[in-house]
Amino acid sequence: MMLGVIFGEAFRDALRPSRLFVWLALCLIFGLLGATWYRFQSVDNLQDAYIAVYGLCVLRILPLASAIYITSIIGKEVDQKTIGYLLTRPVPRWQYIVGRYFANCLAVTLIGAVATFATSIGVYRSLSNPMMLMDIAAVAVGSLAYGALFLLISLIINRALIVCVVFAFGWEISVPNLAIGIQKLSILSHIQAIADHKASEAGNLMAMASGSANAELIGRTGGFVTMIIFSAVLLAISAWWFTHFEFVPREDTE
Amino acid sequence: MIELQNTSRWYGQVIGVNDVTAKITPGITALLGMNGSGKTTLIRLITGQLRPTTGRVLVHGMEPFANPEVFKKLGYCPEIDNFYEHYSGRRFVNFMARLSGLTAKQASDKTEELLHWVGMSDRADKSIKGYSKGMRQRIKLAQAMVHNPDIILLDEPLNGLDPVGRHELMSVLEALANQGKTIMVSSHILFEVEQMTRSLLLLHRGRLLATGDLQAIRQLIDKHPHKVRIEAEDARGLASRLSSLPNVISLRIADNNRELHLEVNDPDSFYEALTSIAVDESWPIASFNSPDNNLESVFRYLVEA
Repeated sequence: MMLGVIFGEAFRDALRPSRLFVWLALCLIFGLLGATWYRFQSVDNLQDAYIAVYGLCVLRILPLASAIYITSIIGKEVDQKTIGYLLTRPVPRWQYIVGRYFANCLAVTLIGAVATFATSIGVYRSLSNPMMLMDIAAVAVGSLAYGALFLLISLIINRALIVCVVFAFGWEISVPNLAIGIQKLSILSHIQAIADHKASEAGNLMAMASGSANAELIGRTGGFVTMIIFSAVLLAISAWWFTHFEFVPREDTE
Repeated sequence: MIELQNTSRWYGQVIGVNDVTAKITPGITALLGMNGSGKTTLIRLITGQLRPTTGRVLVHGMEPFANPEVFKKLGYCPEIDNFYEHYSGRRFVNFMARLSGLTAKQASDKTEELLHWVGMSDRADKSIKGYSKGMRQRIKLAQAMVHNPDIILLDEPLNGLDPVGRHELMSVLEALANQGKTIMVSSHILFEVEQMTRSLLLLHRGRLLATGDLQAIRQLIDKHPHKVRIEAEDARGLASRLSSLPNVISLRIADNNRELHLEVNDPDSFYEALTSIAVDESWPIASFNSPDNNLESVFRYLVEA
C-alpha cells in the first residue's frame, strides 16, 4: 500500500504543469522539425526524416529529462531539507527509491512518447508510422536504464545533475561511435538497437550524429535484456545504498 | 523510553555530540542548549536520521536508524521551515498521514482533526509558499502528531508562534504528557522551557552538562552571585535603602545616576524584598532585570560550579 502512495504522489508531482511545460514545448518543436526536415536535409523519403529527428532530438532529450527528473528524487529533498520528513516515517527506505523511480521513469517515458508521437505526426502527417510503437518501447527501456544510472549517481555524489548532463551529452554522444565493442558501454547504443533503425537509412553522417552507426552490432533482444538487467541491478544497489547510508540536509554535514 | 548510552557523533573532525548518556522517560523533557550545542544532532540521532559514531541510541529498546518500527511510535517536528512549497498545508499533512500507514479515509479524518487543532483548517488549502513562519510551525506540529505517536520530538517548536499559540501548544504538550507520552522539546531559551517542564537535559558544545530537575539547577545557580540591574529616578537613595538588605553582596551606581548594578545572593528572596520596598515604601522603580536570566549565564554558572 505504501509503495502505491509513494508512486502516486511522485507521479502526480512529476506531471505538474510547471514541470511539463518545457518538455511539451520541445515536443512541439520536434513535430515542427519533423514537418520541415526534408527542406534542410537531402533525405529521400519520410522514413529517413523521421529516423533523423527521432535519433537527433527524441533520444537526446531522453537522458536530459531523465537526469532532471531522477536526480530530484532524493537530491532535491536533501537540498530543500525536506528529507527529514520522509526518513522519520514508518516506511522502509527502499520503498521511496522504488516508488519514486518508477513514477519518474513513467513520466520520462510519457515525455519521450509524446516527443516520438509529435515527430511522427510532423513527418508523416498521420499516425501510420510502423516504427512508432517499437520506438516508444525503446524510449521506455531507455528511461528505465538512464533512470537507474542517474539515481545511483545522485545518491552517491552531490550536485549529481551536472555529472548526469555531462554523461548525457558527452559520453552518450561520443561512445556509440567509437570502435566496435566499446559502444556497448553506451545506453544509447542499446536503445538504438531496440529501435532497430538501419544506419544506412538515415545516412552515415546522420547515423553517427544520432549514435546509431554501430547499433546493429547489438541485437534487439540483446539490447532489451541487457538494459533491463542493467536497470534492475542499479536500482537494487540504489535501494541498498539509500537504506544503509545517512541522508541529511547538505550543509549540516559540511 | 529513549536511552542514550555514551553516544557520540562526529562530522569529520567536528564533534556534534560528545559521550552523552541519558534516559528520557514519559513526560516533557526539555533539551536546552545554545545554538550549535548539538541539540539538532541529538534529535537526529534519536529520530534515526543519523547513526552514532560511538555508543548507542535506543528507542523502546530498538536502534532507530532506518527502522520503520521505531517511526510508528515517533513523531518529529524539525526546526527547519522547509516544505514542498507547492503543496497545500492540507495535502502535506495528508501525505504524511498516508506515509504513516493510515488509510485514505483515516488520513483524511486525522488531517482535518489536526488542522483544526493547530488552527489551520480555514487556511490549509492555500499553497505553503504563502505561509508565514507561525503557519508553517503549526503545519509542522500537525504532521508530527498525525499518527498519534508515543514519542514526540519537537525541535524549537515555539519559534514563530505568537503568545496565544505558545500557550496553546504548551497546554497540549502538557495534556499529551499526562497521557503518558514521551515528549522532548528543544530550545535555546531558558524562560520558554521553564514554563513547560522541570525535567531537562542541558547540552553545551556537544556535552551533556546537566540533567534532571530544573529547580535543582536553579538552586545551584542561585548559590552564585546573581546580577541585577535596576533603573530608578533616585538611584542613589534606593542604593542606600537596598544596601541594608542581607542578600546584597555588592552595589554600584551608574554614571547617569539612574541605574543600579547589584550582585545578590538568593535572588528569589531579593526580588521579594525589592517588591515590598517598591510598594510599601513607594520607591519609584522604572524597571529591573537580570542579565543572568539567560542560558549563557546558566552555562557559565554550571561550568564554574
